[in-house]
Amino acid sequence: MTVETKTGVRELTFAQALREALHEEMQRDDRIFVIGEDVGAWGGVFRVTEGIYDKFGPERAVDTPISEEGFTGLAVGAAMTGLHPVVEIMFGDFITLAMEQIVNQAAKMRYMSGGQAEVPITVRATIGAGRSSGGQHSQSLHAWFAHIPGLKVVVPATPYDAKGLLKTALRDQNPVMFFEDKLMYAKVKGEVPEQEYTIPFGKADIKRPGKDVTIVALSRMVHAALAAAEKLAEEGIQAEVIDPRTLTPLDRDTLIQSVIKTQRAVIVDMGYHDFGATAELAATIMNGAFDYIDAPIERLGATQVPIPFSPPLEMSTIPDEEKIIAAVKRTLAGRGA
Amino acid sequence: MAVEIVMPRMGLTMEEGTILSWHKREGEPVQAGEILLEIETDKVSAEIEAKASGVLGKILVEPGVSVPIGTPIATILEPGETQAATVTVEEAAAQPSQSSPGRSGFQPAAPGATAPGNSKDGGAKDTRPKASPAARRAARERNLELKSIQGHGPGGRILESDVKRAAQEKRQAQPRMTPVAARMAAEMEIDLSKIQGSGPRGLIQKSDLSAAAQESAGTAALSDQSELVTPSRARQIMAERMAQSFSSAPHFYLMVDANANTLVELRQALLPKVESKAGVRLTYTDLLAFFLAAALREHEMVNAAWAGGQIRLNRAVNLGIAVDTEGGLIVPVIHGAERLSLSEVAQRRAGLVETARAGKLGPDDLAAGTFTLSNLGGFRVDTFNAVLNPPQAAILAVGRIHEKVIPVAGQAVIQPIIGLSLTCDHRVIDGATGARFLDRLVELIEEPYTMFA
Repeated sequence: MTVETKTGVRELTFAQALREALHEEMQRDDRIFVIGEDVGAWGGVFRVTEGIYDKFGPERAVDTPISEEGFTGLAVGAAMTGLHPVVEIMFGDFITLAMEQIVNQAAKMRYMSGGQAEVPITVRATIGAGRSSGGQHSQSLHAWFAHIPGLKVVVPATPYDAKGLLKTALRDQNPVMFFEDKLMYAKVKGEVPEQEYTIPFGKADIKRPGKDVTIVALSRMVHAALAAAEKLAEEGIQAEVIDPRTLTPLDRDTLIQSVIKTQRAVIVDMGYHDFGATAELAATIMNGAFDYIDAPIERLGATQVPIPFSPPLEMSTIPDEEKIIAAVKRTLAGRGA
Repeated sequence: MAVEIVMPRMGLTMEEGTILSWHKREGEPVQAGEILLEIETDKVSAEIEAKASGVLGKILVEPGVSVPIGTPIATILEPGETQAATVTVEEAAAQPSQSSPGRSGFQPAAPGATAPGNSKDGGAKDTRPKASPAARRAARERNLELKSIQGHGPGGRILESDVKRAAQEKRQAQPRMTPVAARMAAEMEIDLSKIQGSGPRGLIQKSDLSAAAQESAGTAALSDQSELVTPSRARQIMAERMAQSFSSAPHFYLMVDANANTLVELRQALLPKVESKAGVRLTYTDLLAFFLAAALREHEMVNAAWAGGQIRLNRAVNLGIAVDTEGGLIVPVIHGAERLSLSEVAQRRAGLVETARAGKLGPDDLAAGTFTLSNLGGFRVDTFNAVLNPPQAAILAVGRIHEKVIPVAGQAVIQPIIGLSLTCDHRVIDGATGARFLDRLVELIEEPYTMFA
């Protein structure tokens, strides 16, 4: 079900955009298959793989038992022998069980075989807190994978980006970690043109231009940042919102150029604050724009606690619009006084 | 254990102090409570007591030298203790962040945390002004010294906007001149601030410099017959404050001659009563102060201050009294004057004047004034206009009581007259507002019984 917008471009949900990318690429390339828990006949708990089983048959929509290491390992082997598996980790928290296969096998094979083996695998996993799922179903662990050479890490925020980036992942001959915030699947809608397009990795997107402060945000936090920027604009503060879209490769130049212009940066991510993605982004800005920074770089991430089940407690641990506005104002303290 | 003596803070606005003299020599025994040294701030001089008993160790700051508050100036050692047991100046200076209030969250690396052994390096870091990297670059590009720039960021950090503002101010302060004039000025070492350019829009030209050069040859001869004197710190501060007040606060003056007949009679009648009650001689200043307090309580806009875009209405009437002392003009404050009886006003005034002339006013005696009374009635001054005492919005200038021929019901009558001039800050007070206040003051002076109405 799609909706036409004023500009004539139809609107899709985040989940619909991902589904469309899978269908189109599976049509184009018969090496691609999806594998994971309930991804087949049921169509995935978040409905991303809906229709694949019916359209492409059980061989290309493989249901598995609850056995993350097993089916991820199976997929790595399949990738090395010529297929392009798309692994779905229903709750990204349980990617811990597949770490060996991803970190020590998938990420290393091309290097350790001297280029003789390649592992074209796409691992889709969920991130994001805020639906009261408890400490083992609410974490955002994408930063771990950006730490490992040999993996590409994608953190899309909009349906348009999600589709374009997933298509790029499915054409990449290397392991790609693709993180989807589970609260965006149904709630986030956006324009997605019907024409064929892909989005290259390593190219940040300026989601909103501004001159007073740079807000770098990942995944769902892009929407919180845009809402904050809207409110700040009412107070005459023009925030620039930048979405890196991929952590590896990282478009460092766009971040640096933006901060050279605005002199202030607030970095927002749903992942844990300490040693998180925001730290690497802040360091990037610090190195590249040192002579232009006019205030300490602000970082917002999840509080260093297991995400609570209680909704009010849970919401207090993750960054939101209000926290972003407060951080922006901290960076602007004293300016123009 | 050695006890460190630091430059004390003698009031909220104090930033640095000057050592006037040490009352003890190095190695001399010291009792807690004994006067150890004397310091001077921008407002007062004060005697500082030893806070511990022992032996005065090394004196770190000599008389005549100014240092910021909190700077170690000496140590008191336990008998038999040696100087080595205590911290050195450099190390102490390298750890200012321990005593300064920390900011929550982000904490930049504390100076001294890096190289405690390298005391010289640590000390040098401490004197570096706090500035953002962007501000440092901007200052570097514009050839500006960070030390001369006021920071408005958190904790006084200099931001790029501060540097840009300073650069603009510098540009505006710099006279415009032709390249030839610039070269001539540099060669002849002429102070450009004294030259009025004769070119378009004040452009300084070659001819201006030639003229200035000839003139300076003339003043060189004058310098033999004159002397340059460095004024006291108090006078320097006052000079700055007055110049700033006069150029930033839009002044206007309301002047009136009040009939002083009743005022003279009132003073005569009350003299013995106040003397027996408060033990001081009642002055016209006391009566005026008393009336002012009453009038100010009724006109809050006059008991006010311009506070950077807002108006501060003061609840209490803290009346400053301008006092002429050997060290220059000083303005001690009678706090809560609106709650005092006439005898109490007289008593406070007398006490403050005496303390002021002895040079022993404390910072609190000078703080928080809301209105100032300046009475030159003791001199042959009929009336004068005063400069506002910032941030106060008004000041009353009072001349002597003198006889004047004035028309009363068609007859020329000789009456004692007192000349009043109210200076107002037009940002706070409008003409009519000031006039209503002055009108009431005159009414109180001429018909004091209206107080009971």
